[in-house]
Amino acid sequence: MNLQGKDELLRLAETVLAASRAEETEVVLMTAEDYLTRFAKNVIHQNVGSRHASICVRTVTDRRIGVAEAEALDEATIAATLAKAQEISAVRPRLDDFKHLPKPGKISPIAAFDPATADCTPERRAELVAQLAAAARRKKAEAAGLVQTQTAEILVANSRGVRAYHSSTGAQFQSVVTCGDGSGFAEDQAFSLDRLDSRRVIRDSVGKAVRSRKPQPIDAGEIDVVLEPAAVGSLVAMLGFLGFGAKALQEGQSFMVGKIGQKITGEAITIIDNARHARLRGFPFDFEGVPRKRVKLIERGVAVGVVYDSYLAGREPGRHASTGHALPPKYSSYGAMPVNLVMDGGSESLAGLVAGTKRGLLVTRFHYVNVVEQMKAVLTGMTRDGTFLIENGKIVGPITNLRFTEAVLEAFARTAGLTRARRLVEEGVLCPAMKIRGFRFTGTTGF
Amino acid sequence: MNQLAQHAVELMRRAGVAYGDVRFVETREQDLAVNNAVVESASEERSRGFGVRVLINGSWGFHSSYIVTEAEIARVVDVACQIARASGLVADKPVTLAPVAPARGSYVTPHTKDPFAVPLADKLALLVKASELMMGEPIGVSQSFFAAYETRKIFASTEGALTDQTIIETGGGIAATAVGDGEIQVRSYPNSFRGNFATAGYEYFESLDILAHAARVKAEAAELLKAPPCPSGRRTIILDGGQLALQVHESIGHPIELDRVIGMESAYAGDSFLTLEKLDNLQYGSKLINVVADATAPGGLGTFAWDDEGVPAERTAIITAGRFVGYMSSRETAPVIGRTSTGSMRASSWSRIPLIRMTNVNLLPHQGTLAELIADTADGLFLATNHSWSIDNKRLNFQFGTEIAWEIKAGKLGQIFRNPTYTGVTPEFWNSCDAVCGPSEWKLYGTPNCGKGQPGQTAHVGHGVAPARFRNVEVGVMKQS
Repeated sequence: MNLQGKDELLRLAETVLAASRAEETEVVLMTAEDYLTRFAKNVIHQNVGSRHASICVRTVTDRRIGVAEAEALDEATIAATLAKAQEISAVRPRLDDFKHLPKPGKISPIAAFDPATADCTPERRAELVAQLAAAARRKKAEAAGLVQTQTAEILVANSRGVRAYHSSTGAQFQSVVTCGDGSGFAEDQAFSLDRLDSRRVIRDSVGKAVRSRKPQPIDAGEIDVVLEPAAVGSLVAMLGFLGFGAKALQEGQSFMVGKIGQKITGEAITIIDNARHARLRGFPFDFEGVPRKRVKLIERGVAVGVVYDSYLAGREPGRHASTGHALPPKYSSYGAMPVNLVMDGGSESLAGLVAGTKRGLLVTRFHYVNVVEQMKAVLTGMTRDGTFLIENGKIVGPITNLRFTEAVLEAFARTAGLTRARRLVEEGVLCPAMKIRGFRFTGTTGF
Repeated sequence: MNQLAQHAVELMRRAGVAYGDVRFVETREQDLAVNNAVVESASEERSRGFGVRVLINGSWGFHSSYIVTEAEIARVVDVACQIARASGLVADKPVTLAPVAPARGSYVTPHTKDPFAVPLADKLALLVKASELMMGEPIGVSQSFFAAYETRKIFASTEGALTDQTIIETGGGIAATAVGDGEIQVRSYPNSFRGNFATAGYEYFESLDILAHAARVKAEAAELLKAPPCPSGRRTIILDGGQLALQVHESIGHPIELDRVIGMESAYAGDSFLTLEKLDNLQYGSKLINVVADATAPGGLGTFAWDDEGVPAERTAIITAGRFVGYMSSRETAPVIGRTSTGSMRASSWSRIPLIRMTNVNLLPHQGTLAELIADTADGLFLATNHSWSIDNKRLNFQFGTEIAWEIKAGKLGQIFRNPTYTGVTPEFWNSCDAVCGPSEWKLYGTPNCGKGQPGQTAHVGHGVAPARFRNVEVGVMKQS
């Protein structure tokens, strides 16, 4: 484990703040240790680890901002990084909209550190892979995927009194199993390795691969779909990227423009950003040290709000405060972003959604989802790793993959049911499975 | 750092590894972004660290650290060996490496102006000026970008390789976004998503002459706001260089990565339709399609002297007269097809293992100019500058959107359309190509955001292309609402 600890990071931060000649100074210190065991064809083929530490300094003088970052925490690097930030600040034009670095806010800690996960050995990760590979072999199938364990800590301090520290661990188990021309996917993630439901991941990915053999082609067109959480999550994450940040709204580039307070999708849709959700356990503050607020984005289909950092909030004085969604300073030109999206579930079960479908598709997940038209949230992507035809409430067999091109908010307005159960998916979104009527598929492929 | 590298190699030898290598990497990056004449981002980042890769009993282990000391090197070598032994717990056939002569030498990207030595104030003033030139109704967002990267890599292996190379990359561009009536339209120069990049110095950014293009970019974005949507239907299309570069990237560059073909990437970005029996047997495209993977192309974003396994840069034939003849490979994967490595292994940082990455996957020029090609087209569309992309996990079914389309009628460009998209299936699409422009239109495009691997890596790769024409392509598949 590579943690420096709060006291040591604070000591380093104080040296930066004391040495700075700027009117305002902010320092972000991070350390991390990542281990990832990757496997394919039932063997571990890549197995990696890394130990990181970084410092990012932002200095402000006369509203001129300089940002410098370095990947080391020795005294010379720290001094050089501060000097570089001040050098950039000296020549950068004034940013008139900038007000100040944030003042400290009340930060309630979020418990997200598991010592056993931080100390996980490569042998322990290999053990999970071995269990999955054995299950796959029993079905003459091949497993690919990853087991990952991570440890991280962050300290944000600034000259206006912010001192925010957080440490966390993370674990992920992801499986894509192929069985002939069949393919199945399952995943789980949590702050602790012991909380991963590895049995479910193994059972679901192997079982789905077996069931999706010999897929049959169907024509593209509009058809009802039951989207599993992984498929829903990739759509919701893209909505977050496109439209739930204040910058896109202020610049007229969000599907929320002119629609705050208006209905933009179906009543069944409520999406919030909530780092404090027990399943997510996100960082309790952002990269400016501002406490992350719970932000309603869409409530019962109505556009409610977007997320802010201190700069974007300052552009709308008196109307908004930072919601605690600043990105690291080097990515500030992208604006604030939601990173802990939670979508409300409904009252159905997955089996119930399938049973209530006369003719439709069950979609495990999408591949390579991208934007076609930003203002209408038109997205495209492919199905993968298990797409099945539903007829008269029953799954009748696998089908070959399809491309969708769909205005997602319009599609969400055709929601015909959401599951009560929700899953935390790869994009960091907690979401249910959902049924949508008339989802538009625009292309086919031969597998 | 050479001494530290040799120290790491000695420790790996003492640990009894079958093979080991170490990369010490120092990077420097400057990122500048201007929005509506306001400097939104001005940052500089430095990184330094090393990664150790070992092969023990036929299984890999890798560990890395930002602490560059002898003690940390010893710890990292130990942990890398522990990880390799753990890999051996779930193993099959031992990894064997294609032979390569141990590389020795040094290399620096040819350049005339150090991009970091140009005063920051000068760069910012130019970007602000470019942004100002594009401002005014209906442009809501007027952006200009600059970025420079310097990467020094020292590579040493237990086989005796020791190389030292410094890669310098520079680039940038402009973009104007017209906003109005619930619609936004973007035009960019010289390419979308922050511009174009090359292995070169500041002279490359100067050659882009962004100020000279600002007025056109603004005008076209404004026109697009009023333009009708691109109509749907089967059409003849001509792709400009920027769009064709991404078409090559997604539907040729990725499918020819041999690690994808044999399933090593199947859980994430997917595998490839180019299964092994297709080598030397598949008619990938029409006779006009000639593609090479060329890490020696001057200025290409995938240009270097040695890859991250110490294999010398080379030019590999991929498609010859339409026939698929070669993959991009590594020392581990090349034996699968009985060949040696094509020198395609690169890591995005010291903390990542090398993966097979595109070098410069270039579509070779044929003949004629773009003007002549348009004049030769009775009815079609000219699509320019990538806006959107998506392709399935076998790299067959793709869908692209471009910033703009011009109608072609009787050999002349006509009205413009907004939100053009087209879709197809890879071999059918490349076999529908009936014209590729000649050397005077051929240009290298840099893609600085190619994602692959877990943990994720972003590679900088290049594509040389000249505009080309494709027949009977499905256009305008987007839902109009």
